[in-house]
Amino acid sequence: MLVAKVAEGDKVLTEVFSKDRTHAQLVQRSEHVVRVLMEQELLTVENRQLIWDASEMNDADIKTELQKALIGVASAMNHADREFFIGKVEQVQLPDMIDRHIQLVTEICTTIKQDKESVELFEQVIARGLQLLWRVAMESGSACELRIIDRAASGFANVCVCAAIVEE
Amino acid sequence: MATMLQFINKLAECLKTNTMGYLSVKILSSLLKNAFKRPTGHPEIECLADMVDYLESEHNLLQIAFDNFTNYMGRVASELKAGRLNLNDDPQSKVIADFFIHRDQIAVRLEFFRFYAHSSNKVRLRASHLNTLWDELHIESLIDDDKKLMYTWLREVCDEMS
Repeated sequence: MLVAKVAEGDKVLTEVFSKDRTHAQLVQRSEHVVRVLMEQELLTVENRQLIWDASEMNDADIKTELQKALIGVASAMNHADREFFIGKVEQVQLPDMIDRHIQLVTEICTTIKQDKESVELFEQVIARGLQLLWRVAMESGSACELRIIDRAASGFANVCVCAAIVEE
Repeated sequence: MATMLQFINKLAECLKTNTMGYLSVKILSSLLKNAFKRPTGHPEIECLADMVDYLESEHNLLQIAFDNFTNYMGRVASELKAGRLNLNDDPQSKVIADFFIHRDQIAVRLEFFRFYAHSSNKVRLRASHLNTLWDELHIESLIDDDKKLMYTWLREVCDEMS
C-alpha cells in the first residue's frame, strides 16, 4: 500500500514539476497534492529536489506560483522537508535573494508542530533560520534590496519570538 | 528564551557600535512588544519589565539608543551640509544615511524611546534625553518635518502621562 502510494506520488510530482512538461496553471493547482504528500511524509529527497528546481526555473509565472505553494505548505512539512528547503535558501546568493525566499524561511521556522517533532529538531531548524535571516537583515549591506532586508528583519523578529516559546 | 536573549544582546552591541541602528531598534521594538505577552519561564527575566531592567543594567540601552540616534542625526547633518540632497524635494522620504528613509529612521526611534521608557518603573526619560531630542530635531535639523514629528511625539508622551 505504502509502496503504491509513494510510486503514485512520484508520478504525480514528475508530471507536475518536470521542466519540459509543467506550466503555471498546473503548478497553481499543485499545492494540495504537495501538502498531502508532505502530511503523509511521502516526499523523498529526489521529490524535494524536483520541487525546488521547478521553483527556481527560468519562468517567472511558474516560479511565483511554486514559491507561493511552498510557502503555503510549510506548515505540513516534516523535519527533513524543513531542513532541505532551508538548506536550499541558504545556498541562494544574497543578490539573488527574493521576498519569497525570506517568507519561506520564516514560515518554515514559525509553523513547526511541536507534537510532531522533538524540541531539539525544532530548535535546529529555528537556529538555521535565525542565522540566515540575521545575515540578510544585518550583514548583507547593499548586497540585498532594502525591501528584502526589511522583510528579513521582520521575519527574524517573528522567528525569535517563536524560539522563545519553544524554549519555555 | 536563551536564543532570544543571545540575539537581544547582539542587537544591543550593534546599537553600541552604530551598526544598522534603524534595524536594531526596529527588531528590538518588535521583540519587546511581542515576546512578553505571557510569562517566559526564565528564572530572572519573567516579563517585559524584567527584560528592560536587564537591558539597562547590562547595556545601559536607553542611553545607547539615544547615542545611536545622535550619531544618525550627525551623519544626516553632514550629508545635508555637503549639499548632497535638495531640501525642497521631500527629504523625509529620501535615504540620507544608513540605508532607510529618513522619516522611518526618526519615527521608529521615537516610538522605541516612548515604549521602552514606559515598560519598566526603573527606566525614565530624563531631561537630558528630551534636550537631545529637542536639539537634534527642533534646533539643529534642517528638515522641517523633523519638528512636526517631535511635536507629535511630545503630545503622545504627554497624553500618556496625563
